[in-house]
This record gives sequence, C-alpha cells and structure tokens, in this order.
Amino acid sequence: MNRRELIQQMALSAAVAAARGVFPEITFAAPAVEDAALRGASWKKTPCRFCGVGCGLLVAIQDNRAVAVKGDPASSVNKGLCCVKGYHSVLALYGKDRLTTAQVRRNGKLVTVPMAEALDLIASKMKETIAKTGKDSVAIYGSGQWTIPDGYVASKFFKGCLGTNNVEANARLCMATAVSGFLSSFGLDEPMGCYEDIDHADAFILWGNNMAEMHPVLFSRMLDRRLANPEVKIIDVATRSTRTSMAADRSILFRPQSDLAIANAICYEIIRNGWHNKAFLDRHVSLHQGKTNIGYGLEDNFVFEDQAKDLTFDAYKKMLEDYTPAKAERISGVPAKDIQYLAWLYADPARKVTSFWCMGPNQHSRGTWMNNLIYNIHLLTGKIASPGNNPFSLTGQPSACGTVREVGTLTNRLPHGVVTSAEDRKLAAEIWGVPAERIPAKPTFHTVEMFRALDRGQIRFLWIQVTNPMVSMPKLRRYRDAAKKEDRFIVVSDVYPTPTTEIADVILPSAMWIEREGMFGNSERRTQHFEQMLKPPGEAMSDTWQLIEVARRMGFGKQFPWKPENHIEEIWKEYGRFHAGAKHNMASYSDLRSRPGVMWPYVNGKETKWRYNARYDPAAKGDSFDFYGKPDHKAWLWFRPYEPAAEEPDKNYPFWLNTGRVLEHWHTGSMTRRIPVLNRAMPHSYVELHPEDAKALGIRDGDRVKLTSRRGSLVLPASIDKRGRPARGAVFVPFFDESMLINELTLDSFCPISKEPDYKKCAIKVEKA
Amino acid sequence: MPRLDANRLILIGYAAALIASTVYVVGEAVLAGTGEVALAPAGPIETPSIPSESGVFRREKKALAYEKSKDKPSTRLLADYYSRRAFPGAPPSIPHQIFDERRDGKSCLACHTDGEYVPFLKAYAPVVPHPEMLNCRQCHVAGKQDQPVITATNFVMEKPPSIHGAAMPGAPPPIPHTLAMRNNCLACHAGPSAPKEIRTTHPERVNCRQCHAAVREMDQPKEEFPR
Amino acid sequence: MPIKSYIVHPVPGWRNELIAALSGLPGCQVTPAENNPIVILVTDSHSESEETELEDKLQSLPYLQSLALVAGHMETDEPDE
Repeated sequence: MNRRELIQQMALSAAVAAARGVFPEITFAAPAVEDAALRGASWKKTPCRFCGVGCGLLVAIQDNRAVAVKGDPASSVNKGLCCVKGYHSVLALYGKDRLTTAQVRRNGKLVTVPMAEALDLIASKMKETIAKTGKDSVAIYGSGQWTIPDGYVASKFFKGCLGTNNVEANARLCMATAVSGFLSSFGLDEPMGCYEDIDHADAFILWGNNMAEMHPVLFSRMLDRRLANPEVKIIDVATRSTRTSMAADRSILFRPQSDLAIANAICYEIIRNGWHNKAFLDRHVSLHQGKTNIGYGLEDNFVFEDQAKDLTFDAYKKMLEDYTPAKAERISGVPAKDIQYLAWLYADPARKVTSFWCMGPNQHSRGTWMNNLIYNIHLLTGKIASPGNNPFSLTGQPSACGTVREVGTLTNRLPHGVVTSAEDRKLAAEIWGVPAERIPAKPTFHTVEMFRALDRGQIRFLWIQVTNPMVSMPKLRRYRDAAKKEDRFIVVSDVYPTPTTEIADVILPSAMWIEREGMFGNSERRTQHFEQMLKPPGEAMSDTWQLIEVARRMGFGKQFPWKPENHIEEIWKEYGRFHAGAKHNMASYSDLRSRPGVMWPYVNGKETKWRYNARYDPAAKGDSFDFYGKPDHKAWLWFRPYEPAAEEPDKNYPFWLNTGRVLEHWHTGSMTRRIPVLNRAMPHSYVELHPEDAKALGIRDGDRVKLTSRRGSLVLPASIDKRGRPARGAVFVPFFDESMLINELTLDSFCPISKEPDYKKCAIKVEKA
Repeated sequence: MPRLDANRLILIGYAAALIASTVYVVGEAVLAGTGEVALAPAGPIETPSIPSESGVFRREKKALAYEKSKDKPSTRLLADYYSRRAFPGAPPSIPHQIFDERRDGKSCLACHTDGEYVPFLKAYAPVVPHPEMLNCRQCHVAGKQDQPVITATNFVMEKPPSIHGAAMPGAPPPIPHTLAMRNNCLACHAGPSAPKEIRTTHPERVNCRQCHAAVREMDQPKEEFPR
Repeated sequence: MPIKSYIVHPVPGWRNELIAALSGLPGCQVTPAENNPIVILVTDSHSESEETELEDKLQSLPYLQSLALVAGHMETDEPDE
C-alpha cells in the first residue's frame, strides 16, 4: 500500500483514539479500525511455539516486528482457533531482558564477549575435556522445543562426529514413557491415529490429563463435537478436579498410582462379560507378560531390562482376577459401578472410543505399564487404528515428537533405529559421512543418570539448549549442586536469563522461534515448517547454527558444509533419507513450505492418517490390520500388575504432592511470565488444598503454607477451590514459578523401562507457615 | 457310634457356613483396615464442583441456539448496564415493578434464566450468571440509581474497566472484571440482552477462558516479571 | 495536499443523512461508531484549492452539528508508489 494510504490510516487511528478518550466504551466496526493498525503487515504461517497440539498460527510482521497473531484457518489442527498462550505468543519475543550477547563467567562474574569468542571457548573446552577425560565426558542436553534441524545437527555432531551417545533431551522427562509404551505394545513409536479421531469418536476417556488447560484447542474440538452431538460423552478420570472435570459428563477421581488397578479392572469386566473382540484378538494380538517388582531407579547406576514371556489368554484371564472392580475399588477409591460403566463405554459396539492421556500416565513410576494397560483396553475391544477408535498418547512439547522421538536425540536412538543395531549404525554412518565404528554401540546415560553422572564427575562438559533443568529436574537440589561443582563446564543456550543460565560458564543468546527458520513435529505426526520472519536481536544465533559453528571449530567442517541461506533445506533433505519408505516417509521441503503442515508417513502425496490399518496405510499388508512394528505383525497385549508408588504418604509425611502446569504458563515460565497479560492472569505459584484439609490445618485461601518432603521444603500461598481441587490428602503445585522451586521437594524415581521421572507422586507434610 | 441324622447334619452345615462367612466378613474388614496410613479416607472419593471453574460451562448446551435464534440482536448498551450498578461489580438494582413482594427467586428465574422477551417492558430480561442463588432480593433491591440521595456521600465510583484491553490487534481481550458471581460468560456476553459493546461473535466456543485471560483474579504484581 | 481526520457530531436525528452526504464527497472516508452518534471522517485532498472546496462543502452541510479536527498532515503531491 502506498504512503497516502498509510497516512490516512494513521489519521483514522488518531481519531479513534481521540473518540475513545471522550467516550471510553465507543466501538467502531472492527475491520476498519483493525485494518488501520495492521495495514502493510504481511501474515506468515508458523506452528505455535508452545504445546504439543501444534496449532497453526498466522503472525503479522510489520517493520521487522511481530505485531499480531491469529489462528490459521487453513490448519486442520486448530482451524483458526488458538489459546491464550498462542494468541499472545509473539509477545514472548520482546521481554526487556532478552539475551542478546554471549557471556562468559570469569572469576564468578559474567562478562560479555563477542559471539565468536564464546564459540571458540566452547570448542576449546570440549577438546580439552575429551582429551583429559574421554569423549563420554562431554554431553548435550537438548529439548522437545528444539526444532528438527537443531536436534539433527546435535545428534550428528555428538554421535556421528564426536562418537558419544551422551545425547539426551528434556522430552525424557515427559514423553519417554509414551515411547516405551508404543515400542513394547506396537514396536514403533507415535500414535496410530490422528486428531481427526475427535470428529468421529462417541466417547472420550481422559486419563490423568487436564486437557482443558493443557491441550485447550483439542479440548475445544471435543466440546464442539459434543455440542453438535449431545450423546457424545467426555469422561475425566483423574486424581484431581480441574476445569476439565467441570466440563466433563462424568468426573471420576482415583487415588494416585491406582490407575493401574482401574485399567486392569476394566479389562477384567470386558472379558467377564464376553465383550472382548475374539476375532480381532485371535488375528492381531499376542499376549505377554514382563518382569514384576522392577524397582524405582532411586539408586545411581540403576539398570533394568524388561523381559517378555508369552502368555495364553486363559492365563491372562486368571491374572486379571486380582483386579475385579470390587478389588480395584479398594485400591483406588473409585466405586465398582463407575469402573463397570467405563468398561461398558469402552466395549459398547455402537460407540467409537478415543482415550487421551499425557503426563498422568507418563510421569509415572510404572508409566510404561500404564500405557500398555490403556492399549490393552483398546486391543481387547478391537477399537484401534480406525477413525474415532484410538488410544491417543498426547505430546506435551511442540516438537518432542518431531525432534526428540523422530530424530532420536536420546542416548539409545539414531534418526532411524537404535545405536545397538549394527545395521542402523551403518545407515547413519553412511548418511552422515563418518566411519561406522565412530558411532558407539552402547547407550550411555538417560537424563536423570546424566545429571547423576555430572554429579559423580563422569561428565565434565554439558551443553544445555532450549530447556531449564535448574527448575525442572526432580530432586532439584542434588542436580543444581552438581552443576555448580568445580571442574564442570556448563554451556547454556537460551533466550532469557533463568536459574539455568545462573549456573552457566558460557551463555549463548539464541534466536527464538520465528527469528530463524525451522520445523516442529506435533502429537499427530504432523511436521510444520516456519520461515525466518524476523531478525534475531543483537548477536543471537539459532541453536542449529551454534552447533554447526562449534562442530566446524572441532574439525568437522566436512559433515557440516552448509551455507547459512539454505542450510535448513539441506539438513531436511539429508534427514529425510533416514525415514524413506512407506512406514515413515517425510514430506519434501517444498511441500512443508507451502502447506500448513504435513503428516508422516507421507506416501505418494498422501498422508497416512491411520497406521496399521490396511484401508488407510500403504505400509500395512493384507485386508485388515497389520501391526508391522512387531516381528509377529501383531499388537502385543502385556499383563501389567499394580505396584505401589516409590514414596507413598505415611505417618510423618501424610500428603501426596502432585505437580503440573496451568493454562497461562508454559513449563518453567521463562517465556510466558514475560508476557504481561499472562503474568497478570497468573502472577505466582501456589499450593492447592482440599477445603476440608485446609480447615483441619487452619489454613485459609491465601495463607502461607509450608510443604516439606524428605528432600526440601517450600513456603507457598494456599489456593482453595480456585483453579483446581485436589482430593483429600493431596496437594497440587504448578512448576512455572522459578521463585518457588517445587522440584526441590520432588523425588527422582522413574519408570525403570522408560527412565521417565514420576513428578506426580511423592510424600510431603503440610503445615501453616 | 451314634448315627448322625439328617437334621444334625444340616445344622452342622449351617453353623459351618455361618462361621465361614463371619470369618470372611471380619477378615475383609481387617484387611481393609491395614491399608495406608494417609489422611485420605478409604471410601469412594467425592467428585466436587469448583464454582470458579464450572460456571463457564453452564448453559453451554444453549450456545448453539444463539446462532439460530430469531431474536433481534441486542440494543442494550454498556451505559445502561452500568447505570443500574453503584459501582462496577455491584449487584444491579431491579428497574422494573415487582408485583408480589413475598415471592422467592423462582419467580425471578422465570424470566432471568434464559433471557426471555418481556412484552410489558418491551425488553429482553438479562440472564443471571448465578441462578443457583435463589434469595435474589438479598442483594438485588428495587429502585433506580438516579433517585435523589438523602445524605451526601464521598464515595467515588471506580471507572468501569475498559473493553479495549487486547494486547495486540485481533488478540482476544482479557477479562477486565473479577469473576465472582460472574462465572458464566454467556449470561452477559451473548443473547439479545447482552450489552452491545461486549457481545461475543462466537458464543458457540464454550471454553471461554482458553483464550480470554482473567487478569484481575489474582493479586496483581506491582511490576512486570522481575527479572 | 492535506490529509485530515475529524470527529463529526450530527444534528440529532439526522445521522443517516449526514453519513450519506459525507460518503458522497470526494476524498472522504466515513467510519460511523456502532454505539454512539458520532462519525469519524478522514479527508484527503490533492491540492490547496481542493481542500478549500471540501471545507466549504462540509461547513454548508445542514446535518452537521460540529466538526472537531483531530489530526492533520500536509502531504506534498508526489506520485503514488
């Protein structure tokens, strides 16, 4: 538009402002006035920076500034709707204390240095550490908020070039259990269905996840479905009453950890009534059991490997007799008739059922078991891998799937397959242009063990990117003390100062989100591309390029030859080679650029929406289902028992401590707390108490409350019947507030199979402060 | 050896069954008792309602009806809305005549549950966001606000919150008022009695607080995030 | 030359006629308020004589109660981009 039009719009805006000064409530037809503000802006597409739903956004860019956000109507994920974080996401770019220069700690103080100097220092420290204590003493800890190129370059650099499997990401703390659940039940990671299941399902069973706050746009899609089809049921099965419970048709509360018993009881009911799908089970399911009494990972160097034993259906039926609804009621507090109701909902042949879960079953010391059990229910009824019938493991972070799980930035993984497979190592070596022997065959440390290794001194150099472990690690004190020890060199790449940058030896300013080109992969296997829309401030540099710069300084220029102007496209092309084939083919770079997102497998120009179903999946053989992830081409049903939590309430510590998020804040709040409207809506953390417990302790809403566990204590204001209500004998604390570090109280127990910590259960005592 | 006749056998059988069942019942009770020591009771857990969270979903089933309704779009202004209130957030006074002084809330709800058109007043009744409270006239008194005040007052009314609080063009405006007693958004923001300026374009999106942040609910920080 | 914006008050009861009249004038952009009688007017004249003519026309409208100038910008007549 031309200059005259611009000035006309400015004059209009001035008059509107003047009118508002005299008549505060005056309104004008919105488009005219909004247009005035946004004239000259161009709208560009990007996936949202925050949760694993992966909404499509359109961001208005005007004079190298992001000035507005709207939902992308062309995105099938959110169809033009966002949540309060998404709508205000671009404001996170403009916090006043944004990191724009590199800093190095000298004599305890942070000193600004040119970026090039910081990168030199990092490379030289890496070389020094490797020479002194070996290549397995350097490590990188990345993130499910890493873009796909970030993770790919990190994996290639550390595994392919340096030759160490010390690559981990914070998705170990949220999605590792989902992965081990998929791998044990189906042999391949990631959901078999997609968000379109919401448009077909007749019942939604939510297991331990507050979808109304954590996956709000998907929840709105479910509410839409119910609004148009009143027989559709939403059932919330949780340990705490939340906004989701209020919207659900039925809210079922259970005692922590007893979800294991409930799921088994549902299976028992289904079989007792003969509701199981015998034909499906015969053709497509094989039954197994694993080890029991498997520990909690509390000791250093804890090792566990599961072992499968075949199981006959009759033996399985017998084992389920420990989980009649009456017995499950005693363990869980859920009335037997509610368990029978759930079983009936699942089994009703006229009803398509989708289960949704996230952190409740995943951040669980028997999380892999819990995932298996939900799959069991869907396998017994044959309600899987078809529209509306889907056990849907939701992802928390925007690219835990896209980067950590699909690129394989975990100690045991490669972009295709696992480090323990010679064939997979050979493929990686070929594509990466490194000798095959360079890639080590043994995994080293999962995240918790990696920080323990840092404590013990096995790791001396740690590079942390796009995550805030000094707020989010369980049993935080040990790992913060570890990071502060002598002779531990910590590099932190971030966008704002955080408790993690506080312990860094080198701080690198990172380009944030749309300040660089990249891709994210969301919960439903959809990869979404965003172009670089803004110039990063100061010397901020994308995480991808930081890694490339250091890798080149370490002598690996040949493996990282790319030019700044097209390196993302080149990386994508190279990465795509790992996933070629009908089971995992990724879309081309130009497809990703032009479309709001493309699901994988992307085969002959078509997205595979339902995997393992021959009707929709070209990789599936035969005429019905083909669970090609397993050698027997069947889905595996695992019998998994109930085992108690690592630390349950007792006489001295009589309350359960549960932690989690709130709608307004993302994770540790380093971005969202710098968005004024979100900060005002949720300015600080608190502890939720049941009103009766509060009364018994003499605590009123807003009073200071002291929580104490065996690992630490914290004082917080009480919140009673505000956002959520825990069950009696339990409290809930969100973890977004770095001034109230609740993870100092949590326990670093984890699921022995997935190694994912249980943030939902430990024992505390509660007193008025 | 004396012969055990049938009656004796049956008696012994009953006794055995009785003892067995007593052992079973008592045993179960003992087993249940040796559970966890937590404060949490052993019985089923009640599923409560959290008013500040459940209010938004009330009447959601009527959300679709707004689109199909044949009512004229609202003409009521925010100025009218505030004219009945002593200060923003005060319970509005009743502007119409009340025919039966002794009737309870149920007669108020006849019109104020769903915002019926009231012919003799030629207006749509505003929908009450808290219909579970039945003693209406405990808070809502009759009479207009512009009647002469007998005693002079120093009370200065707070300015009504601005409706233009959106952080960016097109962003969902935050909720500028407190939520107490006003948890049900549809009551005031949709329908023919909704003040014109705050009428929503999308009543069918029932999870309002997904996008609209309640910025006056918690104690406000004195400055932006301190770092 | 000048680009100006005004807040316009119509004579009570003659708002529609005022809007119609203003919309008919050359170089005039009319934005009525939704809940208030006032109307915002943005004018754009390409020469001094055009501007004087426009001002005369505005003053002579019988439906116009008052005209309050909010913003003005003198824009030299450069060729449009």
